[in-house]
Amino acid sequence: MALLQISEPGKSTEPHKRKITLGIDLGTTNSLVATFVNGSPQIIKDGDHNLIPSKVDYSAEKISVGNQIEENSLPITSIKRLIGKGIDDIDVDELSFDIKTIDKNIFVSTPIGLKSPVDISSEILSKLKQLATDYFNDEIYGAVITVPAYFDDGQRQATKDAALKSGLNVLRLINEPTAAALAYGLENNKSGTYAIYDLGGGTFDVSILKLSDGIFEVISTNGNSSLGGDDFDRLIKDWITHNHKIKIHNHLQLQALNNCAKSLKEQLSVSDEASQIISIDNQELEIVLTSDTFEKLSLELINQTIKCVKNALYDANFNKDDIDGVVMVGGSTRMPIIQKHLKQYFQKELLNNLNPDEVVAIGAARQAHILSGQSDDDMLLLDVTPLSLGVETMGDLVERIIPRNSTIPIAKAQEFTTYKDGQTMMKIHVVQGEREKVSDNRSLAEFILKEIPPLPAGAAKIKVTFQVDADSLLKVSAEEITTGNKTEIEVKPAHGMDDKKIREMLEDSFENANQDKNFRSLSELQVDAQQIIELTEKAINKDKHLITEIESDEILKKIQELKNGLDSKDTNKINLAIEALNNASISFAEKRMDNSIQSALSGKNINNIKIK
Amino acid sequence: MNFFNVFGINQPHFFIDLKDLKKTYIELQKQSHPDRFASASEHEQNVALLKSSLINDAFEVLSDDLKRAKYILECKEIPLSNATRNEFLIEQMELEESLEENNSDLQELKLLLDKTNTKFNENLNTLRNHFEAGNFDSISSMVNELIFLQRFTIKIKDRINKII
Repeated sequence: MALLQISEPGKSTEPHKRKITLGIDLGTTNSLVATFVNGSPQIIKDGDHNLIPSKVDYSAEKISVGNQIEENSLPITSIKRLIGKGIDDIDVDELSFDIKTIDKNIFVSTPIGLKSPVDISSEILSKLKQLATDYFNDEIYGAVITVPAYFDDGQRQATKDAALKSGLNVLRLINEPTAAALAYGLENNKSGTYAIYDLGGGTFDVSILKLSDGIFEVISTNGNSSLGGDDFDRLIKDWITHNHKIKIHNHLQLQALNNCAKSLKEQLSVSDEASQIISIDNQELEIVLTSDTFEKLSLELINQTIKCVKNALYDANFNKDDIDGVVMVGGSTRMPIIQKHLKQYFQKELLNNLNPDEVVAIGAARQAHILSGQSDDDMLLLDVTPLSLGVETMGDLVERIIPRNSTIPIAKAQEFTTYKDGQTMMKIHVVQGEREKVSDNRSLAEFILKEIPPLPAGAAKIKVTFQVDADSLLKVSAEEITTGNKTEIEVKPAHGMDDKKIREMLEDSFENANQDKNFRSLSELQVDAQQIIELTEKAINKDKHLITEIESDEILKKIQELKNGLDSKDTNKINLAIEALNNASISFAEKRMDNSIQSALSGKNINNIKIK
Repeated sequence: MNFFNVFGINQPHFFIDLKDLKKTYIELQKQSHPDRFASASEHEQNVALLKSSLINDAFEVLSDDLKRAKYILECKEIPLSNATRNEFLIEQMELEESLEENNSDLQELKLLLDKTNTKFNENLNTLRNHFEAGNFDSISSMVNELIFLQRFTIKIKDRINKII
């Protein structure tokens, strides 16, 4: 709408209205929601709990989430490990619930039907949103949602879809270690180079960041989006079943064993020996686990995370001695064996003075507050894309177009050509990953560019553009240069509904439930109209030179009509007059935007690059 | 608009102050990054996305000596030279052979990496001299050699990474 384009960039057109923003950490094991109140971050509690277990229980009567789930039920857990994935990407034996697959898409069987990982995640997000709505007794403007830095495009897109489904306005997806660094920088006002080691319930990330004067610059990131605390539990569980020759017959037994393993692991965070009694097949067993045994079991996993740290340092072109501090994030970093091995590797004390469970949500809340335009904080966050993006070329090989660790947003174009005489179609297969062969990477999308003019092999030129936005989400477009024939696709994971459909559905339900909410009251409309008049008049006074006299006369005429409409107190008339003014000023607004870009790019601050 | 123009430099120029470049980069991103427009109209968000992407792309190219040199050739429409000096052809073969022979010897691989890095830096100096003299034919062939050395460095590093 032209109305918004006339206001100053990034500033709200409704300064009188507060915007409630949230930072959401949608975790594998636990989720949190935080906000900014009076300039400081705050966790929004669920009763007495800061943490909301990321569990959903479906029954014929109701859907329960987190702390409200009754004991002895069998809720869906760790759904984050499935989101944005296909059946080939997961280990079905480790699930404590039944799944079904349709076209490789995963669905969970529940008493009320099949639910996708997006559906289930959106139940958790709805719960968090509800907590915030109750807390403020007001509407939520928007949220920053965190994702593991090493999430691929499909996993990010699915997370965003889950948020939209729960009715949240997603201001940004940000990476979990980056969010932690924001919270950490906020508390400590530090500058230097930091490694963020983030071991959560189901994911592991490491990011190397530079902090200076309010600039948070991610240099490199690495990780494993299916390695987390759950895997340490599984090692203990396998050790128990092996040592005690236990056969698992059903999901309830698997859940009991998982809980036992988790409890043993948690005990080892405060003592050197843990014990737990478990009853299996009407038999009571006492399990004793020492930290030495646990360390032996876990060594391989720990080494995997350290290998990721090495890769991140390598990509950043740093030595481990270049790192000023190592920040520990995620509940799993409470394990003493993790701390021991990291200390050994870095030869440094670890920074864990902030609660490792809460730091991500707090960082996200800070960023949400800034993105809503309500903060004077001049902080700038520059993040990177975790995985390389490319297209398939002849012979199952990947042609890389955007290398990993490129600062986002980023757009790159590459030209391809036909390999047969008279070829009129070309398939473009988009992949993500670091391997040379197409089949070893994650396939994101395939599309076909048609109507290429029939020319000798190598004569047609097809330009493929990859655009990665600030959420790290990819859009690919292809253009045949001689004809200008374009194809554009938003890369979508192969699951359920797309963004647009979800929006339509939401709007429909909203419309039906509460139709008159769509009609703004006369007083609201008058305030808006006044503001539009004021902004447009200001803009005309300042930038009249950008448009012709005919254009500016037309805008002034529409302003007068709107003023007349206001006098009539007829909402219909006012609405029409606002629309007419918007239409008349679209091209003016665009010219002002272009002009502001020009002046930003040629402003006085940029002539100071020394030519030596 | 070329990448140099983005940073307010009128003509493609090899000798630029990288600290200034970085400072300007941060200033430009502070004005243009999509995060500054997260609550603005869709149109403004799109403009910010395109602008910020362009700035990132330009910075990535201009802040790297070799990429900048290659880009200057592109701006001046000078093709990359196909002719490789005989001396360098021999050097190339020697390097490749040496990598094959010491495929899994960490010590030797590290020595080879040092040697390649030294060679890269020597050639970079030669490149600078050519730019000072404005000798574009030589620049073009030197860029070619540097690209080979850079790719070769990555190859050695990948091998080393696989061993450790």
